[in-house]
Amino acid sequence: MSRVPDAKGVMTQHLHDEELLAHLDGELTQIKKATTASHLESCWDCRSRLNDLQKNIHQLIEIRKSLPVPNAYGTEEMRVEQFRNRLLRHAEERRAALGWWERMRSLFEPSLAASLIWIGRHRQPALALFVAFCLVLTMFTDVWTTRLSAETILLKAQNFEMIHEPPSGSVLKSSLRIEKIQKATDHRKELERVTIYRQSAAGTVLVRADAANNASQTIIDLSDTNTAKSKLGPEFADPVMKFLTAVRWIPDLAPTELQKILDARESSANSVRKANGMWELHFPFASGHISTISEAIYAVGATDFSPKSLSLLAVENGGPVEYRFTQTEFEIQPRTKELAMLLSSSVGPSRIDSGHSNIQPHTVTLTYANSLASESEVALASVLHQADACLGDEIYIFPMSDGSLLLQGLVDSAQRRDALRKAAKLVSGPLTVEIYLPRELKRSTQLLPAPDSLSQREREKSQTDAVTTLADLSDQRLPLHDVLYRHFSAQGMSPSEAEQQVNAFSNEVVTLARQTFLHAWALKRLEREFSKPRAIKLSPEAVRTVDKLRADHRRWIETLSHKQAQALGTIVDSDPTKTLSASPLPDADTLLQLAQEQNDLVRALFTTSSRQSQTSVDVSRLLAVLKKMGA
Amino acid sequence: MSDGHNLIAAGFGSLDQVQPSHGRRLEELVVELYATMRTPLLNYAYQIAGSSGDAEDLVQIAFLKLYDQLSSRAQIDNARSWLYRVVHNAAIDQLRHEGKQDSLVTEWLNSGSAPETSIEDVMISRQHVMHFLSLLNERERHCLMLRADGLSYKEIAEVLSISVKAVSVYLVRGLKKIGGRNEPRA
Repeated sequence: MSRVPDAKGVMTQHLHDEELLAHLDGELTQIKKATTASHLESCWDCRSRLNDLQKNIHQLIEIRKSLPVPNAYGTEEMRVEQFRNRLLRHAEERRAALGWWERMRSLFEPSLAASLIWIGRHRQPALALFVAFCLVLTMFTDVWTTRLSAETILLKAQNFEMIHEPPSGSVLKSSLRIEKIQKATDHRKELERVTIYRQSAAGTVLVRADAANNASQTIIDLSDTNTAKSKLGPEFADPVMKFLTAVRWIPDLAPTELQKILDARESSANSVRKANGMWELHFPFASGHISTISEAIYAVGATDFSPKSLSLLAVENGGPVEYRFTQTEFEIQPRTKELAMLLSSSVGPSRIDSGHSNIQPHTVTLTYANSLASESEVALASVLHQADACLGDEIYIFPMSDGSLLLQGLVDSAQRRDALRKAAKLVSGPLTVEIYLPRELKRSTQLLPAPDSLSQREREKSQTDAVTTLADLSDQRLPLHDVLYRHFSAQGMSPSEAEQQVNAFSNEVVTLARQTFLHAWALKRLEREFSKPRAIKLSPEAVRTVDKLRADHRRWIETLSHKQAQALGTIVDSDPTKTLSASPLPDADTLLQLAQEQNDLVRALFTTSSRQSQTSVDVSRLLAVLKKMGA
Repeated sequence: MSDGHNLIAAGFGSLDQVQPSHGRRLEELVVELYATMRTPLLNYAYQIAGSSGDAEDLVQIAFLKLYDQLSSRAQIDNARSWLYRVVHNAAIDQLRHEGKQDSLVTEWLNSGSAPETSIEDVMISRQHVMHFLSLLNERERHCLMLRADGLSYKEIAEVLSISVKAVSVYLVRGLKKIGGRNEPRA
């Protein structure tokens, strides 16, 4: 199509469309460039086609603007922070793994080579040795019998639980017999029979304690030690009951419930035995465990891995006792009207609605604007603070409509999640923990929007800022590099030493600035979460706790700013901060702004970047900002 | 020094200050690169895989791989096209794994857009996007997206594992389809 006859019928060599686009895109070679340009000057036809292409490019750009963008959670800054943490951990793990491999190789390589040579020379003795080794292995161990680890068996039991998840419209009914056995005298006493109804759709768990005659139906609320004890029977020793209450165990043999107990036993040892057609998993507790429990024994079927019983071995009045929970019934039942009523009544007194067969979601999350802070919210915030979850992790505490709390968020490693879960367990009161790893998030909608409007606004702000173009960074360097280098060289360091010092110094300042920013952010979040209107119902004790958390962050901001200013002071001679009088400490909003500014300035000054900065102006500006933050 | 050299070759700045003994500098560098390139890569991953996977996670894993490559002294000639290629392949895998041919079309049609736009806005932009998508085939779309992200023909060729010549053909074909009415003379 590019060789078209022109109006006069003369064959003109028109340009290909590909050539025209390459011309627009600057993709032509030098020679091609010149000939194309001169052709375009003389040829209207090609020029008009060039304009058409240009128009199409404009159109594409317009369309591209209307394309949806992925839902972002957290601000750009938080995202980068989260990635930094993930990368640092990844690098750490990588180094550890590499180190291990190297060590093993250096250890075994020579001896492996030597033994191969030996085997090559003495084939018969080698064979004899191998046979002897196998014999010993078979005689003195049971390596040939099928063995499964406790973890595998638990997984299979979980699988069993999943398979038997009740389909919608039906309910899973399981009954337990609870016995207390005095080990010394083998005296057995049946304490209770409980029936649990589970409904998958709403995830409701209802525990109904049946008296022997099946007359009374009561819902056990394990969150209250006293009533739980009276329902599960006064025979339960206090420390055991307290422990089960603390871990929110529901009397049920499901592996998920068992896990609650195992997580809190402060030990990771386990062993497996096979007896009476069952796998017996033994989970010893840490010695001297506060619950007085010494071991939990979980029995599952040998072939189908269905849970059979759970025994808790404890010590009472100096003698060993066993609390045994045995499954007596396990079946899926259609959900009758009576059951529906029972299930919905477990949700709360206001929710009894027998007319409707489908259960509504029971609770909704509230925002800070329409809820009051509770004591347990303060307690939770406090333990999260101690676990440093307020710094950089995207974790939020959501107040729920039923008065309980939901701890939801995103962390980047399973260890971090375990640590946070463990911390959350220290808090009493109803609490749901939903902490995800990035790969578990199929859709970002799983995460609720933050309970305050602040994050929403920040998010929008960060999205408008997010239009990043890839600049040519080839001329980038550390803006303060020369100043720092001169400083360290002046102390008589060799060039390579000075260079190392420059790096170390920059790293330190960048880290300090980042931490300052994170503390300012955490402070701001505290201000939002425990604002005056939300805190009116709090006890003076709780208010003091919150104040302590705030003071903690403020102190950190001051200390970190001070450290930065000190470090900078050793490098830069002029000290413009002297002219500034110390002003009272700014509020959280101003602090956050200041922290953001100092972080940006430090980034501009101490990391290699394309941003052109006037170093002298920026350093004095940074020092002024630090001063305002209490340095 | 090889950490530095790789990245210099990649066009990401002179890194004379980087000392191999200073492992931290490489990490800082990767984070800096992540901060710069996160948004375009995220959008690109999303344009391919839709929300069938976590685009953010795809992108982060690509950067972790980049770090592994650089710290094991492997040569990367151009970090930008390298990252785009890793993200592109991971996103395509994700999509195929879900058994979808083209999640973008179905998903944008089924799911609601941003809540603040009015219904008419949504309808118009959806029609627009739908029209646009129905015209282009996968290759053309990928080439145009990458070009719009500022990649050179050579870089696009590397990302998609096709020839530079093919890139320019796809680009022209795609652009002509977009133009529709004002198609250059045949």
